[in-house]
Amino acid sequence: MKTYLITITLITSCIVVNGQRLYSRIALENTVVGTRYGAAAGYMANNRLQLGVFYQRPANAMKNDFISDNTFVGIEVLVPIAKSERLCFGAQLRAGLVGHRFMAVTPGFRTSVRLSPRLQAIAGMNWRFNRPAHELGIQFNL
Amino acid sequence: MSLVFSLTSNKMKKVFTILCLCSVAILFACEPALENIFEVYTIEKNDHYSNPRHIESLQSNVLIFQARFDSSAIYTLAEAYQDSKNKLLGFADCNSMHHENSARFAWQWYHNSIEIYAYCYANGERVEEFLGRVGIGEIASYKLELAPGAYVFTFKDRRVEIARTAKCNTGMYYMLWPYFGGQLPAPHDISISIKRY
Repeated sequence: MKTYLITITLITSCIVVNGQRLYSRIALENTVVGTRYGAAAGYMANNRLQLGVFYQRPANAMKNDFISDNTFVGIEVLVPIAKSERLCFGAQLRAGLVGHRFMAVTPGFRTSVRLSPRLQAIAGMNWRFNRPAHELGIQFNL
Repeated sequence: MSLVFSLTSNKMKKVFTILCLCSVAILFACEPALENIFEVYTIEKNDHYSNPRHIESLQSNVLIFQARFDSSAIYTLAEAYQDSKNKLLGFADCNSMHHENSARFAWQWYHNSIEIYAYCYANGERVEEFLGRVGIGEIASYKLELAPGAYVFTFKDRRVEIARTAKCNTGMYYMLWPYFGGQLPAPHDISISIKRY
């Protein structure tokens, strides 16, 4: 509980101080073991490098029902490789815990297209469970 | 040298967007469902490791798969090595190397049949237990569960528990893939078909 309070306080402080550089995102990811949905939030630097935290959970039960908790929570970083005014293509890395127990690292690529000054469409391809996974989402620049 | 460059022309932007969207669309369409994938792992002659080689971490409490051996699983080695256990699939336990704490299914061609074993390391000590036999071409189901104090192996209605000594719970559990040996490498190419769940 203490950890959550500190985290929320830090994030809130960042919003006040650096509101224009924060982002939040909701996304769907289609993996080989089913669709997952989640959210992310973090900080975007001037060169569009992003650093944040994410939360993801299955949209439906896994194909086997033995896993009671397979939420995926962790940190993410996006390094831009090619960018223009409206487009940004970058390499991303997510690392965290599945089910609060199993460490997982998922590399990938992500393209974002600016729809408005505060809204971006996201399409990505990640490597999860030893197979490609595809991600679609919307990102809000706060 | 900076990798970042700018795409300035409108044409380039359009091409770039279209390529990205197409690649995502194609991959969405082509990825087969997991239940349709039977991946063939081949251990080449004079090698221990199987191809393709994967790097993956376990992401659930249960590892479930089906496996099918073909006639390449029949082999003859010197008598002292014939009962060496070949590894099928499993995982290294939390933040451990697989010779410290791990759990795997193992197999050997012995007494003119393929014998399946539970094969574990617990604090560096090897523990093996016979589970059953499987025929050439037979598709059998394997289940390995990571229970709080034990590795639970299930094969053909036989359930075996082997004590788990690792104290750590949160961390990296890396997957272990088919491996020939023991000490001697594969005497000829060996193929194993595996379907994960």
